[in-house]
Amino acid sequence: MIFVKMFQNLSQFSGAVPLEHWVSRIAINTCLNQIAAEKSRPEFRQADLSEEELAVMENLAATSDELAPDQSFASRQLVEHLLTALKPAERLVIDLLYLQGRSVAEIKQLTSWSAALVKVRAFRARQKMKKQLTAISRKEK
Amino acid sequence: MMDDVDLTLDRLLRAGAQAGDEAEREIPFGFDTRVVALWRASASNGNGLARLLQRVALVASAVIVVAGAAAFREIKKSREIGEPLTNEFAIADSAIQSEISQ
Repeated sequence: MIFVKMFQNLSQFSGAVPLEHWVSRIAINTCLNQIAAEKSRPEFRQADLSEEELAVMENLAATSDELAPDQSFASRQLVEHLLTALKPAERLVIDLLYLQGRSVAEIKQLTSWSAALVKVRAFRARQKMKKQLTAISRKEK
Repeated sequence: MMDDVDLTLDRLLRAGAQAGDEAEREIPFGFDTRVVALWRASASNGNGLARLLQRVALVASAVIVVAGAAAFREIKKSREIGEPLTNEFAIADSAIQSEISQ
């Protein structure tokens, strides 16, 4: 997202300040905007889903098989969407545990959280994600 | 015990994990070309002060080289002139000394 913004606004870069400063300013502004957007609209809506993500939802509901490899990118996007409604700590634990495939011991070491806290946060995050997933599935039906 | 939604979420997470985040890390098409073009354009305009300093440094280096060469030449020349005179003075001095001693 930051790269895209840089690309779009490259003509506005005057050269008066070093490129690093300009890029970091864009990154900070992008993050602040994202936080503000999440605060103002914490709920995830079905309209936010792309066609590919909707197809993933349909597949998940239709079969109990693993998703096809060509749907992995759309699945990732859907997961990212679900993650936006979580707290930063919950988002981090889901990312490390499920998307990066790290163990609880590794997460414990990385975050300095206790193993129990990692598990509790993962459980709470999963509950929230499940709730959202159910809500989307209902709307789809 | 895992319910259906749990299993669905697990399948989704597994599929999402397969994708990684390589796609997000790719820079947009032509981005590097535009950066280089902009850098070249800005380099040709340049900052006035930096260009002035650059020129001053170049001129100063040239002056140092010329002054150094001139100084070396002068020293060499003065040595060449000084050496025979010193010898003549020494010869005259020894002649006077020998005459006085006689």
